[in-house]
Order: sequence, then structure tokens, then C-alpha cells
Amino acid sequence: MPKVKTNRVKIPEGWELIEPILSELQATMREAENDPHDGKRKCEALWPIFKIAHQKSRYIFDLYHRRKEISKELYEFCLDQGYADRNLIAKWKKPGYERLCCLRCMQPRDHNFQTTCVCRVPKHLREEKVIECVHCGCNGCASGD
Amino acid sequence: MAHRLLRDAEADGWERSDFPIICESCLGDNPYVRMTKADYDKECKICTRPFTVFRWRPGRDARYKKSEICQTCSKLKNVCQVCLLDLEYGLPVQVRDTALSIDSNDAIPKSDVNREYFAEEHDRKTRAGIDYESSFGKARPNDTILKLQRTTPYYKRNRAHVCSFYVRGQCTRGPECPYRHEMPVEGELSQQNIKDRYYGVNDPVAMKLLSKAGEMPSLEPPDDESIRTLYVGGLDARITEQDLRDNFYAHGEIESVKMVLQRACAFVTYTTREGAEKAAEELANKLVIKGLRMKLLWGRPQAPKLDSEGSDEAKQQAAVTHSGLLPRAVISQQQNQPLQAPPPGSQTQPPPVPYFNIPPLPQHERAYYPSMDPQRMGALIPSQDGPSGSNENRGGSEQQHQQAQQYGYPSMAPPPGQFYPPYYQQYGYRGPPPPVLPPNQQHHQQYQGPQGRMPAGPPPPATGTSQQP
Repeated sequence: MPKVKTNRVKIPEGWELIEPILSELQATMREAENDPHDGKRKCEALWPIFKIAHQKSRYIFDLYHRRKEISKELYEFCLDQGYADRNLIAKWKKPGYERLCCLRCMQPRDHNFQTTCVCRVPKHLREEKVIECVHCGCNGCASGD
Repeated sequence: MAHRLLRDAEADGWERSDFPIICESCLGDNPYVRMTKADYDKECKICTRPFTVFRWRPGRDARYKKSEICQTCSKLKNVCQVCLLDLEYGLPVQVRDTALSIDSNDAIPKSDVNREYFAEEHDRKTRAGIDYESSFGKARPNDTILKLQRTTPYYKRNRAHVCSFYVRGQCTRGPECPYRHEMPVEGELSQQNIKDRYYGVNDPVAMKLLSKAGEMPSLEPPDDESIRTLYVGGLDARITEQDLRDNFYAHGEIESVKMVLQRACAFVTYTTREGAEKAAEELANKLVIKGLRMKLLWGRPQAPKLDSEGSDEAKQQAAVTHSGLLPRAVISQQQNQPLQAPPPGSQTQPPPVPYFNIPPLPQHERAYYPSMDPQRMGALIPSQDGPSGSNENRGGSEQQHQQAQQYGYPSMAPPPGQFYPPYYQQYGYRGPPPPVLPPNQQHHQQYQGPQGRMPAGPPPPATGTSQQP
């Protein structure tokens, strides 16, 4: 047998403190993935996935950038292991996108007439007040509201 | 059936177009429309050939609409690509064909390959520029169709469809549900079929419309022989006295035309009773001026001129309820009007022509702009206006000049003398004007504008005045 070099993850310190919450979130994600689709629309079945992904990324982003409770090493570790979405966090650092729901909603290429999703429009500028965006079920992720 | 592979668009004769053939109602009320265009996106519902699908939203409260049939099919029947109603009249194919006695059905095959072949041939001929006979351009509009046609766009058909979950009581989307939460209207009319509607065969809406047309009541002449006046309702600001005269002169000599823009109506009086009857008969359901359908009814018997408001109203109301010739809306408006404060100046304005159903103007409004004053808009009897006008002119116009300058009327500066006295002479004998400024200015500006006599001064002060309210 050839020598197989496996990459063993080196867990940075501080992991034990955040590990329980992250496992919980992973468990809810697993549940959402396995949920039956009955009674839901096709797009609606995917909404919890986006919601939980947002939640996970939000947790890690908050810990590092806002509350500053974890080290950069641990933060990078979480991102590498896939506990948070690097690209989504990159958007949250930009002004105006602090509450972005998912990456699809702000991508003009994905929409007719090269616009963004309706959830990006602030509530006071919209006509319909109650909406659920079709991509991720977001109710409104403009930074103002 | 033929394969629908996109081998070579031109060779196969699939249809491409730049803009859909649609009617005003389907296009919507918004002048700004964003439309997507998708080549060969769907099959035509009639001939099943691929065509360019356009999709847009006809207004804020509308669902998205898209073209359902191809342009070839729509041109063959001269219908809108979305709603399949006639482009000129807004009527179903069956109604239009029966009314105009066109039969276009013989030539068009309805089944299978035959139909596709016919459509392709037709399309090819059109693209080659060969002039095929379009019977729609030549058809003269006749009476029936003028009565039946839709004159204003009908946006109710653009509403969202009824939420079928709501009908079962299972709509979990709640307030964000884009479909209508109403119970559907069942009945004969809901069983419609696009092919039937297109070919004009067995269309329930058309049959209902045709039966209604057969029974449309004609305008009965009233018993009172002295009535020579017709009430014309549904007026708009764009319709002038001249338009009315043009439409009514053919039937008899017009004695007077009185326009009451306040009520969006007018009264046309003929010198002879026969003229009035002839006009009523001819124009009853067909009067359409500048695209607006007018309602034509007999006028009320002339109410005798009285000194006091009170008895005038009472008599009017009594007459109205007795004769019952007026539409209810006008009667209720009348009843609201006299409830206002009795005009103090009513004695000073001698109405030269009796107003059939209009009480004298409430004086606190004191017509500040010409369109409010029936004397301005209706037939001016020079004998009465002349002397009183010129007497008041000197006193009144000075007053008016001052007031106008107060209100910043721009055109008072350079050529005041020539233009304004003819307008203001009426106001001269009304007394001091009420302190109602903003609407006056705007209206007045607008009124002056079309006259084309504005001197160069207007634009800066006009912007100034318009900012005030």
C-alpha cells in the first residue's frame, strides 16, 4: 500500500467554547435537509436551508468581527471547515449589505431586467409590505429595516 | 406532428417579432413597461407553432401577462395576442364578425398539419410582402358595432387570478399571497375555450353580448311635447362646445348648447322638437366623442325662473322625481348642492338661459375661473352681457388688476388691457373675491395656456405659483 498522507486537522484553542452551538446548528441543518416536502411549495422547501446557513455564518461573523471573542486562527478554521460561508461574510462587511440574506438575492445576473430580489428593497419604498422572497424566503434584508 | 427542434429558424418558418400586437387594456395603464422577449419560447395556442413570447406587467396591481398566440394568428383575425379580442373594438371575434357580417372562417383550416401549413404559407406571404386581402381594414363600422364597442380600456381583466387554495380554505401564504382571495364567479361564462374564442364559434361571452345588443333600448321620446333638449352625460375636459355642435348639427338646427363642466354634462337644445327626436334616435347609444362614450337622455322640462333658492330647489327636486328622466347620480348631486349656503349673489346674476337641472352656482365658490361659470362656457347672449359687462368693466378690471397682481399673475404686466377684461368682466359684478388662491392660480394658468396668448413673462412666475400649494 502506498504511503497515504492524510491531513489531520489541527484544532485551534477556543474551539470547545463554540463547538456546542455549531453542532446544534449543524443538527438543525441536517433536519432541514431531511424534511419532507409535503404541503410546501418547491421553492419554499429550500428556504430553511438558506436560513440556517445564514444563521451559522452570522454566528461566526458576530463572534469574530463584532464581539471579538475568538481568535483569527479559530475564525479562519471555521471558515475553512465550512461552518460559515466566506463569501456571504465578505458581503456583510460592506456598507448597505449588513443584513444580506443570501448571495442569490443581490445578484443581478440571476434576475430579469438585471435587478436585485425584492427583499433587498427597503420597506418604505416598496408597495407590498409583506413579502417572502422566492429564493430564500427572506422578508426584507435592506440595512435600513 | 412536426418535430420542434431548432435546426434553422428561418428555414422552418418559425416566427420572430419585435413587439407584440396587443390592445390597450392588455398593455396596461403604466406608461413605463418593462417587457421581456423570448424567441421561440412557447407554442401558439392556436396553430402550435413556436413564436416570440413577450411578458410584462400591465400596471401595479396586475399580474404578469404574456402573449398567447402568435402574430400570424393574431393578424388573421385582427385580435390582440393576449386577450384575443378585436384590436379596434375590444369585442370577441364572434361578436365582431356577426356585427360586421364578416366570415373569415372558411379559409382557415382548423386541424393538424393543414392548419400549420396554412399558417406558414400565410406567414411566408406576409414576409414576402405579398398583399393578401385583409378584410378588416375595409370593413366599415356600422351602428351595432359602435354601440357594442368598448371605448375605454378595461383593466379589471389584468387582475391576479383567484387563489385556488383560498377557495378550499387552505391558503397558508396569508398576506403575501399574490393571488386574489375572493370566491370565483361561476356560471355559463366561465367555460371558455381559447380555440372557440379565436374561431368565433360557441363563445358564451359573445352570445351574451349579442343577445344584449338585440335588446338595447332606444331612447323613448318623452310625453311632454315642449322638451327639445337632450342631456349628454360623461363629458370630459377635452370635449368642447364645438365638438358637441359638430355631432348634433346634422339632425336639426341647434338652438343652444350649454356645457356644465361641473357635472361633466351638457344640454343641447334644438329649435324643433323633431330635430331633437331625430338626434335622440340616431345617437342614442352611439355617441362617442374623442374616444369617450357619451350617455344621451332627454332633458327635464324647463323649470321656471324663481327669485329664491328654496322654492327653486323644491320645484326642481319635485320635477326630477316626477319625470325621473335624470340618472340617479345627477339627482343625488343636485340634492347635495342645494344644501350648501344659499348664494347671496344669486339675485345679481340673471341666468340668460334656463339651466335644466342645475341650481344656481353656490356663491361662496364664486366662479373664479371661467370653466366654473356656465355663462362663460355656454352660449353667451350678448345683449345681456354687453351693457352690464361694460359698466362693470372699468370698476371691475382695476380691481382685478390689483388682485391679480397680488396673486402674482404673470401676464398682468405687459399687455393687460387687451386680454384680461374679456375674462374678468364677469367677475366684476360678483363682488369681492373670496380668499381662495392656489387652485385659482393653477387653473387660471392652465386655462390661459391653451389660448396661446401667454406673453413671455409666464414661465418663471408660473413655477413660482405652482410651488405654492
